[in-house]
Amino acid sequence: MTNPENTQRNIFEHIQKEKILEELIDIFGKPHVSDKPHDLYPYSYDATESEGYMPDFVVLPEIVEEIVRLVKFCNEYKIPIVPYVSGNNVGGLTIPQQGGIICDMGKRMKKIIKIHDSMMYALLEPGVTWGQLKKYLDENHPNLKYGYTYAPPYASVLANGLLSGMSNLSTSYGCMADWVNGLEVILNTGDIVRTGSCFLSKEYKDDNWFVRYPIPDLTSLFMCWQGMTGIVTKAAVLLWPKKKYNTALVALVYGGNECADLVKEIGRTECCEDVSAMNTEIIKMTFGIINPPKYDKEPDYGVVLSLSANTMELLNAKVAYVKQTFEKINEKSDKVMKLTNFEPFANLLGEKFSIYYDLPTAITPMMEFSGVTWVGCYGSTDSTGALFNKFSKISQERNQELLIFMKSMKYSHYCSFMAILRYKKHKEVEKIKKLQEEFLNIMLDNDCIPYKMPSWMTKIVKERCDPNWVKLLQRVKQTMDPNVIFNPGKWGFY
Amino acid sequence: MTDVMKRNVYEGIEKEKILAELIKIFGKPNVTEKAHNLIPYSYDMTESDPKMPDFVVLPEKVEEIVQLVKFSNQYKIPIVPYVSGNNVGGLTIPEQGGIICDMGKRMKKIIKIHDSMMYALLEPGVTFGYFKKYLDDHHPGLKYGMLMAPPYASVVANAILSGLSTLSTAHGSMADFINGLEIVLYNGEVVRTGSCFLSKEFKEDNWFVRYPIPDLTGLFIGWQGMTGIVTKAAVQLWPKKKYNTALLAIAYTGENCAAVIREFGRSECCEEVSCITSELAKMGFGIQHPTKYEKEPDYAIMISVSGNTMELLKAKVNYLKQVLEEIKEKAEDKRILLADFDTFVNVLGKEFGMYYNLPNVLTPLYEWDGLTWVGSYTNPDNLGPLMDKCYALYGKYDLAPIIYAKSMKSSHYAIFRPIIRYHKGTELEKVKKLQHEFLEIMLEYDCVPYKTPLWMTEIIRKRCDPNWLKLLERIKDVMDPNNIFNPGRWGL
Repeated sequence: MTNPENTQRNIFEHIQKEKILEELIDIFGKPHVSDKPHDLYPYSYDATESEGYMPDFVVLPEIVEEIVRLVKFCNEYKIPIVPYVSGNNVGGLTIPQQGGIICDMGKRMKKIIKIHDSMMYALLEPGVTWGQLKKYLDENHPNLKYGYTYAPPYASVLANGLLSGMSNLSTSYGCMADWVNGLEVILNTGDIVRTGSCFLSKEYKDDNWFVRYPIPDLTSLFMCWQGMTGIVTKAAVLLWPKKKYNTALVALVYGGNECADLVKEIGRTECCEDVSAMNTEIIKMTFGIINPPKYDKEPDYGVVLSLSANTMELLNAKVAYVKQTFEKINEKSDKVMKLTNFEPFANLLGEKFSIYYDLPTAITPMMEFSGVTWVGCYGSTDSTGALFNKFSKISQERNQELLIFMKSMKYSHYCSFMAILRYKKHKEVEKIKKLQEEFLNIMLDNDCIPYKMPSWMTKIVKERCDPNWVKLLQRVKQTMDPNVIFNPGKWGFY
Repeated sequence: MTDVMKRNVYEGIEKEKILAELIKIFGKPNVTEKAHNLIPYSYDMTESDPKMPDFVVLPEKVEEIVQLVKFSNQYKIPIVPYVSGNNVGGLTIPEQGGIICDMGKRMKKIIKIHDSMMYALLEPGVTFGYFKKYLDDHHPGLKYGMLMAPPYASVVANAILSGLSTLSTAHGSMADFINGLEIVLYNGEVVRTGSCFLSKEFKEDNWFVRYPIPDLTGLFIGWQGMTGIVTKAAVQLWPKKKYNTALLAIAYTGENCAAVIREFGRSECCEEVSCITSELAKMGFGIQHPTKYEKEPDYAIMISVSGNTMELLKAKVNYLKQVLEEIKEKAEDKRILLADFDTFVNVLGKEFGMYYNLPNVLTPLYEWDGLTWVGSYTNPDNLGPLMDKCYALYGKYDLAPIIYAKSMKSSHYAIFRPIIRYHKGTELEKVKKLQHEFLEIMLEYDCVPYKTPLWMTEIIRKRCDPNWLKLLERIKDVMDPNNIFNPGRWGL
């Protein structure tokens, strides 16, 4: 699956290594530049099946002006720059496929620049993490909240937004790309451009980042582009009013089709902040079973529903309608489902179970082995049942553990679906690659759109999709980055 | 008000040859170069200067538009996309002449309503009225956002220009509703953006989401037709609730009105929270030239609420009442009233119901030949001072204050829009001056104008991030190197 077109680039073609190092030290200061293999190595791989590549340098910027100088310099000498924050991502998105410079914004660009209380947005530097934002909001703006993920607290909020990730508010408010109000971006020329409503001032201000439209949508040039069109140095993201009363329910479900139906219909009630399903194996991991077996007659899936409201009356009305909807689905199904309050469930199964509700968090057993990867997609709520069943069948045949996660997105206009695989990198990587490709093809056959795609996946997608879309993609890339310095290798651009 | 460079449409080819080619593409009945046919396309109700097109064509199929674009690109002839002509800001006035591509007459198909993924795939000519009727008749469980615009306005145009609707308080601007587009590019290539990109051939059932792929859809949103001709769009539909109710709040000051809009929007209990000045409300029951008397309230705020059970609906209304009490407690002027909308309709007459039963022509707005506005997205906190200042300006120019405001996306932002109806022949210059004064105030408050006419983009260009303009120009250049798509917009 390694991309055979991955032609290596001699980054020292136009300038000697020593001169690059000198220039980088001049820009960032000696303590913030390294070309030492032991410093570079951690940037060369991630937990997924993506092939490792060594960068040549890593730099730790603190201010935007440093990145401007970096970009101008790299553009002149055609040296790749790969934006990096927490390294927690998957799909090899920050693996430097053609070497070059890792621009690690996770260490010193961590400012929460502004929380705008009335316009409900946060203006952030790339290094701001989920954990940091949550703590900051809880302490200083207790009436506002952001959505959080099943990701470690040290993951980047901004990277998740740019890559259109999801959160525990995505069932109501959509994917995280929908939450981006505006960006500050450094272009190939070194120009700093602001997109969204903040464009309407000659100088940068922190209080006009409230909306993406209604002007020509230049923000789109950087959304989901995997860092290929510029270096994003600030983003404004939407916050939401925190409700006074909260509760959660858990449904236990037998059967893939039933689970998919339930997620869809409950999402569509517009009463839940989050409707997420996972298979029983994941749930068991939570209370410390590292290699959970599944027994016959155990439910296949658990669905966590979270609800909130500003009065108890409204919360109760929402719960009642969700239960009513649940009963209707249950009546139609020949497999009995159970719906119960989350709390007794958590009491029964142990405190750890509440991590499904108290995000961000790392589900530690997922990281048990050296490898963890997934094939994730946005898909039709109709085809998800088929995905559940086909994936389960394949993994049983291969005797491969499979962890499945599904979420209703934007009140079930679509859903996200994720097949997660834990594995031992040295022994099992080839097997995992084959399995992933098989999963991918099933997803594509069902019109699902993979997300955070590694390079091997974009190659397959490019062969199957609208050829004129690929041409337009190329045209925009060529305009935005004629020397292919921004994260080369992604989507097949070298 | 802006100098747009003149272009000689016939520099590369004679008029007769263009006509012959257009007839070849579209068929004789669907092409005209006759002045009496062209005039309606040369102006709108706003202050924008009229310009005559050279031809109008009425396409029926995408393939015809492909041929048109290839031909026009070869000879550098402007193409201006047009649907219902109901827009403002002179957006479809052909600044440099050329060809009006009127998709409102024969490209009116509702291609697909996807029940479970809740989207509609539409041709540009589908109107709000037709769309509403179609959904009511065939998919009673689904709805789209409607607007205070005539039923013959285009759904697709409203979305790609990031307009608003009766669901915008809950779900944001109409640009947020777009799942994907089909566009004819300058070279004649037909490209599909959003999730529908994932098939070599066009299908109708994979238009369910805009992301998570590189966002090429944005190249055509808010661009006023400058980057390609949009020939299909998929927009999100929403589950229709079983129970609906509407409330009306009355406020006496701009500040109180702003507080209701902001806090009700933020309650996340309303589908819509929008306000009009009393003068516009009075027009609703047939007073064409309303006077406002002292001690009458200044603003009426319409609030619509829905729920799938009566219990849910009641709980939402109760919470809103609680929010209103909290606003009153903090307010200096305690006179804020809240009542059922129906009560008002019963008292004021059936016509008043038109503010709720959309889409609709608010007939009094179309009383004279001129109608224009400065529309903007703004900070809800600034609605109070904006209302007060603009209200006073209407007085200065001796015009009835017609102001419209709306909470957007749970009050993450708001719409602020002073509207002017006027006599084109006698009041045009006065209106232009007032518009400039409105804009000046709005820009001071960081409002972002929408559906911007040329004179406005000229002012914005001078005040905005110069690197944003450079990037705008860079993208325009790559998307339309011969500047054939709606030339002149944004000064390009």
